[in-house]
Amino acid sequence: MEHIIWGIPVAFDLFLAGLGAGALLLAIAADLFGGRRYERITRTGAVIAPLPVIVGVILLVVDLGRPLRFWEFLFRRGPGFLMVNLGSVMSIGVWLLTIFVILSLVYAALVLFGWPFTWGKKVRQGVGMIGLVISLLVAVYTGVLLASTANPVWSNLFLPAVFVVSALATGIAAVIFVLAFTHIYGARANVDPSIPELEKINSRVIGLELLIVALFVLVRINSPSLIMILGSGYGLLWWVGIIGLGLVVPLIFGIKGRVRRPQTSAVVAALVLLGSFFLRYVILIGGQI
Amino acid sequence: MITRKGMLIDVSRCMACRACQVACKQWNQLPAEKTHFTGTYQNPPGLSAKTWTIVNFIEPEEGQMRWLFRKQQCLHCTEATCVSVCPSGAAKRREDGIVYFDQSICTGCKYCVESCPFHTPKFDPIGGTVKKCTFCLDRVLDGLEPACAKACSTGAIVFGEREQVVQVARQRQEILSKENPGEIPRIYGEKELDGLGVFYLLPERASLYGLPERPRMPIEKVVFKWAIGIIPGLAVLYGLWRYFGKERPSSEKQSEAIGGK
Repeated sequence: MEHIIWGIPVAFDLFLAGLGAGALLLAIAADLFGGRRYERITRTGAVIAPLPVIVGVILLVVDLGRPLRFWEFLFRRGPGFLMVNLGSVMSIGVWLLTIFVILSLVYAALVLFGWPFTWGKKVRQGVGMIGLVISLLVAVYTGVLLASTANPVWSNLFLPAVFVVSALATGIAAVIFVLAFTHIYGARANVDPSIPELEKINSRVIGLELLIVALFVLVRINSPSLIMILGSGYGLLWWVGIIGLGLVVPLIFGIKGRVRRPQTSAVVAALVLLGSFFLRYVILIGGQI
Repeated sequence: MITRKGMLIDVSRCMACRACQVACKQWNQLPAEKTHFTGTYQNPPGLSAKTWTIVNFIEPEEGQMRWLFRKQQCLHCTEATCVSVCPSGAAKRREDGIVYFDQSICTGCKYCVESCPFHTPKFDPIGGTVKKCTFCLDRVLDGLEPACAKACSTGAIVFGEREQVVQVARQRQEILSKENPGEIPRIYGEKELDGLGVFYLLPERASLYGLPERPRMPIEKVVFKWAIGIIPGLAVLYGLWRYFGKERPSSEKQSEAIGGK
């Protein structure tokens, strides 16, 4: 296992950062494009978003060789104050994550408690607009970080695209899961009407993801390292767990947007979440063996 | 004026005595490694945080008794990937071309370990930082040559001002091509990555020695990768705009009919 340089904590971070970014993006999109009709989606997404990213950042810091030196990423020694290296995807990522955490907390507060002064809606939408850009960039960064290394499996042109679409599907699934869960445990009497709608949306997103995952594999179909992963034990996880249970099942499940029992919705959303984690796990860990 | 330092590793003169390996360990006070026999004389198995240079023993043909030797170490690239990707600014490149990691700044994020096209930097789990050959910066600053060059018993390692060392490589290239007409040894690293600080004279294909034929900075197409990632994200966003923007009064009724059970 000494080849594994970036281990399980990094796999969790890639997953959690994607989840948070996807949830915030959905929340803001529902607010900006749909307005009050989709308030439940906005509220749920906004509340979900900050925590996973905070946990992901903590995991990244703990995974450092010297965790207490994390501030070297933020502040520069000598001339200049902030440490920004535009040639380093990780440096860009550190700042994106930092901005995301602050912004998502502000947005959640605005959605839950409102704005005590005038222009309340405008402020929320303004923060939302910036949040839309930042959450999209956070989702892209997780892929570009791996794609810009010397690793033959990761340096795939389509890796950032896979991670972005997967992040959005994960965020949507997380919102579905929470909505269904709050219903099961009696917080609401009726099945939330946004659940079947989100499942329908996610079915389309997952369709796009399957297409991009196919491109990701096809451009490297001759690469010995990729063949080795997909032919090993990771291959079973990949084809059955990630592609089958994590993508194809939720794709078919949500294709018509039918109203279903919330228990079933929660299970299918959990499949998306698990598949999305293992997608990153197989690419990250499998790529280093 | 600061002149660029350079080192030639003339593999045609290397007899794998490993004096360079020992000298490196001694000067840099690097501990020994516990290893076991893996079927080759190469020992330890590869570079590590405790082994900054190693002579690779390569048997290119299965079953045939032919050895190639290559001293592996940091090549002190001009376009140094580790320097450009380091998020904390610990990886630095001096004007004389020496690339080193400031151990007081390194956080141990291991991004350079994943990014170096020659897989040189290695993580030290005990100290928590990443380590590699420093070109014996402390010796060079005092006008000495690096410990490995000093110890080399055959003159396979030539250290000096880069311009002059390139000339030495050219002369050796000429001599070798006269000995073996039709085969011109490659000076690997003279132009690669805008000129490596450490370059090789290779009588055979670079890939046989475990070097990439055309080394590249993995970071070089990064803007393109951002773009390819953003496009499907925007596509989904467009879909959400279309979906959420539409009037859809039927959904409320649907839920009332089925919910509440």
